[in-house]
Amino acid sequence: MSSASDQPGQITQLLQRWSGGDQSALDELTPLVYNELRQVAAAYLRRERPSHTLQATALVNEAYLKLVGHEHGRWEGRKHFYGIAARLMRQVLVEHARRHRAEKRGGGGAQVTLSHADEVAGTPEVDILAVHEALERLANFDEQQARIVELRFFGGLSIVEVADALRIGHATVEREWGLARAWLRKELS
Amino acid sequence: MTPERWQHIKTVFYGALACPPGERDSFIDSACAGDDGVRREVSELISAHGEGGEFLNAPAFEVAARSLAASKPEALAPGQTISHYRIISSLDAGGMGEVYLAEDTRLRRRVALKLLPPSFTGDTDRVLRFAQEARAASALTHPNVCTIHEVGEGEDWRHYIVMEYVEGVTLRRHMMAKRMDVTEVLEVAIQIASGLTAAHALGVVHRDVKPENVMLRPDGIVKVLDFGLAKLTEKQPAADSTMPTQPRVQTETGMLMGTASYMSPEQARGLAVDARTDVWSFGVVLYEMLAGRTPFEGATNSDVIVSVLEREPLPLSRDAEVPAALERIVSKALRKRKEQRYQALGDLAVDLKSLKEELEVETRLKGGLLPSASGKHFGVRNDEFGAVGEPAARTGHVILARPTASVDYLVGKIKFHRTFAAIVLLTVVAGAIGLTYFAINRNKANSGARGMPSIAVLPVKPINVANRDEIYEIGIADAVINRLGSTKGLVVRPLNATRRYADVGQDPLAAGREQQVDYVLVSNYQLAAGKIRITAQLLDVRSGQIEETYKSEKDAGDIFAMEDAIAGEIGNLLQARFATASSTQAAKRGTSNEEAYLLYLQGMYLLDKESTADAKRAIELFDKALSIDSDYAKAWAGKARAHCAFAHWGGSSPDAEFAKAKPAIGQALALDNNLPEAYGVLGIIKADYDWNFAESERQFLRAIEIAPDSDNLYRWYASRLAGKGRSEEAISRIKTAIDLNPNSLFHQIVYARILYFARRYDDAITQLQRVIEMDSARPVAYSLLWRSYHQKGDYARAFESFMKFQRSIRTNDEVLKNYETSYAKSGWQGALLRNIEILKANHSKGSYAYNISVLSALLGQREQSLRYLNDAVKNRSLDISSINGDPGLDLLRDDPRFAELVRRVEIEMKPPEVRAEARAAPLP
Repeated sequence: MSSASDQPGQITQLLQRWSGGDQSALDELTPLVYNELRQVAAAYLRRERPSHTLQATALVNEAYLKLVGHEHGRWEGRKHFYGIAARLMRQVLVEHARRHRAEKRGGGGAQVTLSHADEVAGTPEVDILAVHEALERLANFDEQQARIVELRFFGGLSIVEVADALRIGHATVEREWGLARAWLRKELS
Repeated sequence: MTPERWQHIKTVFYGALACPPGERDSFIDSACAGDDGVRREVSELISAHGEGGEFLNAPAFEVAARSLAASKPEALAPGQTISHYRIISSLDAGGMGEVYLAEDTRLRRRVALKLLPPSFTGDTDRVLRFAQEARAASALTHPNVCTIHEVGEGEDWRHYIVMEYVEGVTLRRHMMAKRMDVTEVLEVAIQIASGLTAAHALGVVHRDVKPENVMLRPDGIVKVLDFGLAKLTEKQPAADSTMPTQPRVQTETGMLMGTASYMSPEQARGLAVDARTDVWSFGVVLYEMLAGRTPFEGATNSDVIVSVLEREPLPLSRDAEVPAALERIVSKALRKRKEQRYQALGDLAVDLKSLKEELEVETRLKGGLLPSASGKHFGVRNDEFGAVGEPAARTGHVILARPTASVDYLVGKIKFHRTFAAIVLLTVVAGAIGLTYFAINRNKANSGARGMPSIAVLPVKPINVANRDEIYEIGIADAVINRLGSTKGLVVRPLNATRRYADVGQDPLAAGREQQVDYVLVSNYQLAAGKIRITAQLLDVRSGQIEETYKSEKDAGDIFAMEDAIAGEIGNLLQARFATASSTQAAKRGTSNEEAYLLYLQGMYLLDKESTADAKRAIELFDKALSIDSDYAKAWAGKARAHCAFAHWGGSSPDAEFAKAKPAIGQALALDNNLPEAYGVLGIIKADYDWNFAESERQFLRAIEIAPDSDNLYRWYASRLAGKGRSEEAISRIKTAIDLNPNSLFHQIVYARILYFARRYDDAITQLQRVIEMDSARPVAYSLLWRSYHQKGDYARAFESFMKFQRSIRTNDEVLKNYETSYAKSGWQGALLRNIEILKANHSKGSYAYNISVLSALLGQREQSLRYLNDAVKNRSLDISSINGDPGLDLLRDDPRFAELVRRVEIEMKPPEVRAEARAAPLP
């Protein structure tokens, strides 16, 4: 609909500007990425029946493909982008969660929700906003761990990919991820 | 937490994890050395670590996917395009997604483009079902229905609906601005009811009738929007339809608070709904227009629903001076049990119309004037058919390029590109919708209509309720209905109307009254030892008398054989009683195959679209329908019309297409020698292709005799009468068509054309201006307009209309410029000369011969006109059927060569009978 095809290039450029320290690029990036993620999600839901679980890996991969494009198809070329793309996705998803929450509280108050209640997934939903806020606290005293969580949870990267992106050992990532997850769980409970 | 403290906690934590579980506590104790805070922290982390589970394993994107997909994207900005629609501005964002004013860059017209909320992208099936329904709804082009042009899918899988752009205000706004008086309420209500009735006739239920979905145009025309759209937001009805499920008010789809006020009780319960839900919602709107408030109110949606389900509205007379009759109408629309409501909106509409008439008479008697609203604004309505043309009105069209519809109907990506149109044989297209109406009218069991008795076949009921099987109950009824459906002189209620009388305890006579039939067929069955015993009785609904009795015992094993046998026997019995003429072939009138029927409807729809590509596609669809059911007479007639249309729009030579149209009509008549539209199409063929007007006239008269209430037949006939120069008769016939269906813009256009043929140029111009006011995108109207001005000698206006005509057929800018230059240099004459030049350049195989002849005649070029007219005759131009009447040829009328040409056309030019026609049934 909107010219989806020419956006990866545009997004890549903006990502480069942003990673080079140009904060104004973020303002332009957010709506673009938001739109891409929305489209990828929609495409997924369209292919999957609502009752089925989503293929998370494929979903995330497709998102990256949309964001960083084909020219960075090889991991070596792409991993630089994973770092900033993960941050960007965090930014967008948090923004979305905020908006969503505001809608629930505010304007939508007069409306009723009856029939869609059963469409909420069976597993308890993680509160993305709460994770984000806790992660900001975590970053104050353990930046690396916060980074690992960001890449893993918001970026959707595997342990191996996180290790690769941060240039640290797999075992370290696994260990730190385990602790961070325990801490977040405690914080969020 | 400080980094140092955290570092300490981490060290202890990892150390403890490395210990065997049994030794962890003592390790922590010693490692923390009395720091209780750290100790507690580590212990908690260890236990949180242990019960990790799936926590955070799913990436955030996945967690948010569903709500993201359902979230609102950034609004489209002006200038952005979707497919070939360019956004102009944002219109009101309604409950069903954002609506934009957009330009259709292909057709250069303004449309309303509605983006469905992203939540639908996850449910393609539902959207496809909707699109299918939209297709049915758009086959219905009714003045009070906002036409849907296309349902498409954008690159990001968001679905969009392109529809007619209706300028005006919603009924909601109108009501907020002023209190409506009874007269105005009736004006608006009758139009809403007409729109809904027409949709119901095509099986489309609106489901969300409310003031927000009704637009009032400044000219007084009322349009109902968003047909069937609500279906998209509903969940499937519960399997057990007697159990309440959840109401369908939702946040996700953005349904606003207040929608509940218009929900029918069955909708509020989440049950399956039918057309009667619209009766209810319409009743609510009617109430609200009168009272200034909704009948069922409450502080919250739940309160409203309780009120809808349980309370009776306050009497209207409390708020306004509402006539008692109107109060009764409203209350009959608002019965909680749908069985007790008006069963059809059409009935409600009839009651409203007669009430309006009564009130008008009353007002007149009182010496008062008619209220202003009932005057000019509501006299003429717009059919919103696609642009149409007439044979003679094709003259002067330059068709330089024809974008074809890029359509792939059957795979489901339904796109209705209203392809730009050259001009069209009005008569062929005209029936597309009309015939559908026609079929419906015929099936309507109106017991008084033309003295035909009507019957409802009720589901067969078990004598022993413990041993019942629905397959017999509905199956036998269905077989009998199909069998009786082929009986002439008997109107049979369809299964879907009678299916609901399956309860053992229901009173058959009450069912008969509700269905407004003369007779009901009531039957019982008993199953025992592999046998079925069946007893059927024919009851007279008025007297309650048993008129016929049938008993039989059959082997229950082979269900279909048993059903057919019973249906056959009952059919024979009743046929002997009722039939005025009986058919030997089963199911002559239609088809029992749903797919074939659907294909037929699609074909009829495409015939409305005036492009060769669509006509071709229509032919394919009819062929496909016929490959499924080769006994489908209506589809044969449709195929014949489609071939005629294809020829008329220049898709192929008249010879090739009429050679196919003729045997198709032969087939249609062989299957059903009482099919009026088949005789009508035959009339068209005889006049336009065979140039045998006498025979054509016989066919039209025969068709009209069979179906004296079919308006299209009158128009087809009128148009040919005018072509023969019999204008007075033509005017009388077209007036009948208009009386029968005042809503048809086709009729109005043909009326204008006949006035032009009658040389009543001022009247023609007035009529054309009315037509253009109703729909400014009618090339044929501009074409007739410039001709009329020309005949009056008003060349400035002639040129002005000529240019409008050229723009309406999307003549390219360069050519337009050419005309303007010529006009500036040498006046109107120069423009016409230029037109001839361009036609000559595009002239191949005689396609523009007639047009060039007329233009030459208008310019006084007698010799050239005669030369091209001869050429047109040689090439069997379809326009030749109008030479007797066409004012454009008046220059030639005193020329002996013209008289000779006319004589040749009438006597010598009869084409050899097409071989295939001989194979068809002999035509009486």
